[in-house]
Amino acid sequence: MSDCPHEPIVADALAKGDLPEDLRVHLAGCAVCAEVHSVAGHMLQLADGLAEEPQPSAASMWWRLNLRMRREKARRAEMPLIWMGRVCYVAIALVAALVAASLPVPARPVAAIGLAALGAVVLPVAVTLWGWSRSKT
Amino acid sequence: MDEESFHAFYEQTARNLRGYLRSMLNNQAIDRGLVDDLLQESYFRFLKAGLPDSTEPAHRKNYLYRIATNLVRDHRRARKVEELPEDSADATSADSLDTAHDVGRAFLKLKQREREVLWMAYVECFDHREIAEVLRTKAVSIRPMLARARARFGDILRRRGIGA
Repeated sequence: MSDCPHEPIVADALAKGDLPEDLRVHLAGCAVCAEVHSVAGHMLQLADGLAEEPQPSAASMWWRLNLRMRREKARRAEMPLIWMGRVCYVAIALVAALVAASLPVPARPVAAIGLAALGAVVLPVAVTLWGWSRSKT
Repeated sequence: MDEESFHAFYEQTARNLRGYLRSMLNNQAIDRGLVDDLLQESYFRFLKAGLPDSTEPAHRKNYLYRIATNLVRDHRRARKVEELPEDSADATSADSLDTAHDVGRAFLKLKQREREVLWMAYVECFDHREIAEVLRTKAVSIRPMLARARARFGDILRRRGIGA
């Protein structure tokens, strides 16, 4: 079946519930537009049927959406603090492991340098994350 | 978007969008809660996107439908939902008083893409370019896609004795 330039006009007129006389005349002679008229009509009937089901009101939807957005914002703000905590726990675990290993005397300077380097990394990261979380709240 | 604008937008779009979501899900006995969840998720993602206030209403609606379409597809993929076979037996009486219900059952026989195209073309009256944006396909492919979907739906309706 070939196309007809009146197709969108038929669909639009049907959706508005206003089918002018000249379009009705055209429908009688155009198989394409007659099919559009039939199918579009049934689609609108389907949509009307489905619209009979109750739906949430605009006010309740707005309230729920805002609540979700606030909760999501709070969760995002907490994430840096959570990660900061995790980094600190790892650092503490490493320190505890080193101490518990009872390093021999010659290795102590090496351990001291390692701990200082770890502190130099962990401390700025923790401060940055804390500052970022503050800026998000 | 402020509350007043949202209310206006919601009143304009929710009725048909909910129907769209309902009709894209395969099972007619689908849980109403699921439909409402998808409806809420659609508007949530729409608000999060934060379209500028100067965005045209048509573009907003188009964007909303794009979100809804993707949500339905994700849901179907997650549930591994299959298309219903065309000739699955379910009686339709030509004298049925619930024709909208019969039309709905016939509509479910179509493929997902066919349903999407028909709804957007004849319920929302999107033009081909708008439909292509929602479906993320080329505008030139919409015309033949729509013609095929229309022909198939017309066949299914005729075989079921629904309208002419």
